[in-house]
Amino acid sequence: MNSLLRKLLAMNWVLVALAFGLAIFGVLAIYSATYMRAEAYLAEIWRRQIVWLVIGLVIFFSTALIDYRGWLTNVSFPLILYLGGLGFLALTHFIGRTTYGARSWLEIGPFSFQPAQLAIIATLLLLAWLLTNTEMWVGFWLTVGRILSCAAIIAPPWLLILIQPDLGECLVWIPAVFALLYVARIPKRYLLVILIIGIALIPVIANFGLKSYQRERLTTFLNPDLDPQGAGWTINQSLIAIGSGGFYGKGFTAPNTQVQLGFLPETIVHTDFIFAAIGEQLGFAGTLTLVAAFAALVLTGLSIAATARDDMGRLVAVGITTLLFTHAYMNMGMTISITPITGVPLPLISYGGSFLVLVLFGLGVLESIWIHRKGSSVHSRRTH
Amino acid sequence: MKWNAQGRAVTACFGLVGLFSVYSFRLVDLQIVKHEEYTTLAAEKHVHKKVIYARRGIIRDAHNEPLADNLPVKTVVADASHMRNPSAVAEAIANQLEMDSSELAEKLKTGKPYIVLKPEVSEEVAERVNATVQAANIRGIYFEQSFVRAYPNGQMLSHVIGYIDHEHKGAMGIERTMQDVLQGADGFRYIEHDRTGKELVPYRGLEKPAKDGCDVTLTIDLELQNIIESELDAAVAEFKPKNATAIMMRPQTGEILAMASRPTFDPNKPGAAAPDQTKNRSVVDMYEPGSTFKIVTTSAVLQEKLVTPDTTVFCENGHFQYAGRTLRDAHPMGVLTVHQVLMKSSNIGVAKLALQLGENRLYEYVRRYGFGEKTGISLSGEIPGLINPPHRWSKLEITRIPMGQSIAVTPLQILRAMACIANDGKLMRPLIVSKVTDPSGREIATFTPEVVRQVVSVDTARKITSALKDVVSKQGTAQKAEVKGFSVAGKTGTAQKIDPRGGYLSGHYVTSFVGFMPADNAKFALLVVLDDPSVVKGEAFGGTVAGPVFARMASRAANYLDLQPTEEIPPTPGIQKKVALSEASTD
Repeated sequence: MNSLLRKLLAMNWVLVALAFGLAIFGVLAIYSATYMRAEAYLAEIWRRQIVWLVIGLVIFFSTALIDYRGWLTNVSFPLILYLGGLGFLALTHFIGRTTYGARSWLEIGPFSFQPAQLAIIATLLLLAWLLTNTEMWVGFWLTVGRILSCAAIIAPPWLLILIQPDLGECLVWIPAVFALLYVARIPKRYLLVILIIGIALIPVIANFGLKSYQRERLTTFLNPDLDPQGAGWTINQSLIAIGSGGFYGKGFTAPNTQVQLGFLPETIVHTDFIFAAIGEQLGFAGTLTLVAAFAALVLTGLSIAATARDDMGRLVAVGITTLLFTHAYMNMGMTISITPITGVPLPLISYGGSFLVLVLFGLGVLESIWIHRKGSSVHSRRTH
Repeated sequence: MKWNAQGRAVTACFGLVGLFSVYSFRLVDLQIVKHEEYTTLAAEKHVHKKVIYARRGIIRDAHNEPLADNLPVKTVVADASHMRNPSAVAEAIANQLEMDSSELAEKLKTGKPYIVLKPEVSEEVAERVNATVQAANIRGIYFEQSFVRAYPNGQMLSHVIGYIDHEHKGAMGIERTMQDVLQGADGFRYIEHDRTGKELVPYRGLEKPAKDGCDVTLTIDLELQNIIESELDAAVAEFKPKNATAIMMRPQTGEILAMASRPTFDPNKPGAAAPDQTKNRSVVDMYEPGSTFKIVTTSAVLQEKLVTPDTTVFCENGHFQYAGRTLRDAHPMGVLTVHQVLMKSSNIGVAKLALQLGENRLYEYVRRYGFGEKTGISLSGEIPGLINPPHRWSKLEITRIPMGQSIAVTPLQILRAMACIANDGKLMRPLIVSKVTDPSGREIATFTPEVVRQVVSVDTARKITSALKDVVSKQGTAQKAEVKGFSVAGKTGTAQKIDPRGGYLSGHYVTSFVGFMPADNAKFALLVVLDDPSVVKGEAFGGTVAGPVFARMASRAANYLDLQPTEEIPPTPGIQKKVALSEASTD
């Protein structure tokens, strides 16, 4: 009990404050984007988010207070999670719910979640374990072997996500994978080669691998004014909402906003386009605060990585942080027409219970890595 | 994994800060630099000015029966700025709107936020289109409430009520003369639509409510109108005149109780009517009145005390030489009293009375009776008629005008002159609108009877009435205008039609009868004019053609008005038979 209290006191409170603040901000944003809806389900959706937040916080603190080295460094946990993720992905392929042309949701009883998100976290944890345990593999062949082993782990879930098809979830963890390889001291030239091969494959994938709606989204991204009534509809509405918000915004739950009037489709405004709702109601002041908060969160994550006790901790921290960053970056980017439209949620803000819990789990892991870092008071007492 | 990795982490930090800064710049661009631009875009997406149509006032008869009403219809409007697939939308609704789908698609493809697709769609069609739109989940089609004018009685009273043009302005009749009070004022509202096209009520924009038009109540009694119209139709069927007119007026007030013309039209379909059909001949047509005009001269000489009803006039046995021309009577007559001149309708007798009166006094009385000027009735297109002043008369006019030639009058003017006799010499301004009520039911204007002038004394009027009573008798010219149980006062008119090439057309007549009933306490004055009836030659007299029509109308009117018979009904078999026949043919 004493050590538990000591751990609590040793927590990274910046991370806690950021996570908690963002999650509360998210609930308010969801409320402001949905309170006026006629459907009771949508109007009450913010209450559900609160329930999920409470569950997520329990998981966050539990994960944080348990030493990650006990269960994460052992291959069994990442492996079970990985196999479970693969299983759910496979299951989704057969019994998943189809939304917007992609079979990416799995419904179990009253709950529904995207197995891709679970599989991505699991794969990153397994990758971190693999890279940690192959650190001594140096030299050309061994390095290639290391990379190929990673590829072997990545390929099954990645391909399963690709055939859903969910382009967003395919793209969102590529930076995290690179970050892991980079931090695991794979020489830059190898990464460069992988990058070049990847870029070279883009035209091929764009022409043969993409569904027509995905191609349309890409062309829309390149020129949103091309067909404002068609595919560019959502992005234009998003730009109008954010742009008309101005510096201070139209006010929290202001009437007659683009959001309230349903110009931003009411099915996605509280999930993928929550940033547009924030931009319209809270203006530049709100969006800049949000961007700064995410930057601070990512920097905190990286500082935790930098001070991690061991390579496993460092790699896991980098993976989680990069994954959070990519999610936030892609989500905000698409609402302001900097990145293509992909259905990637904004961590801690977008409505979605399972993703919120997953993110808080990831942050819990980060916190655990911080608490059990080297030179930490908790650690030194324990080893003495 | 020491310094190297930490160095890499620091590099990553800088990279991240750089990446997030890109967003900050973009947000500055969007929310600060281009704020105005996007605010404008946000506003124009869903705000537009919507007309709130004012309800046009209802026109009613004296018993509040609606004569002109409004049917609710919908205007189908599209907001194409929200439309993803105009062609599919056009395809879906074209059939129900009975429009060409490609034409519809063209309209929608303009992408404008306010496009009128089709005005005046019935509620049922609008309902069906709405169901289609809902089922297909189409957005941006909505419906605006408006009205179309409807005339529930069809052709009845069409010339008086008139009709409205495609701009909803009165084009004729009461619709035109009362346009200002009927139309009201359209309002407007700046409204917002949400994405599904639903109107948002709580928008705090500019709004001006519509001001509904005022209702107009006429003096027309629809029941009497029905009698006049049906009898006029029967007369048209029997005599096939070029055109026909009948007007009924309450002598004491000048109120028009009924007014009809043939040919006629349906104001619900004004586009289908030929110009000839839409003429309200009561006020826009002039004709030579013929012998009905004799009341003017006879009353004038009595009023001027030049003669008494018993003063005798020699009627030249049917041939009167004056100013080098021969004036004839239909039936040659010798010495007649003034009373008899009117009763027997002697042209020579009345000409000689006019010569006693002199040109200036004749002209003065013609004008005092209201001829040569508009009556001021609230109907469109009224003309004053044509009366030349004495200095433009030739020598002949003094003998022609008394018998209703060389002048032109409107049917309404003749009826009013006759009503003046019935009303003890008081000339009334004809009334057709009795009151105007605002939408809340408050009377904002009432039109009360107005005496224009006392044309002749009560005594003179009574003397003329006495002669006119005898017109409708065995000795008079219009025995067929008799109405069972009532004393009728009236005068026949048989005017030769003017040949457009000069002179008169032989065998073509305008036959008329104008009178009032009961003679000593008139409840109505009635005029019947049949222009060029097709009858056996020599039969086209006012007394034989228009007289019976008058009798049938007057008889039914008396029945409807529940008038107490003033005369004992003579047990003459012939008359009884005639009345029985006329009733059988009209009811």
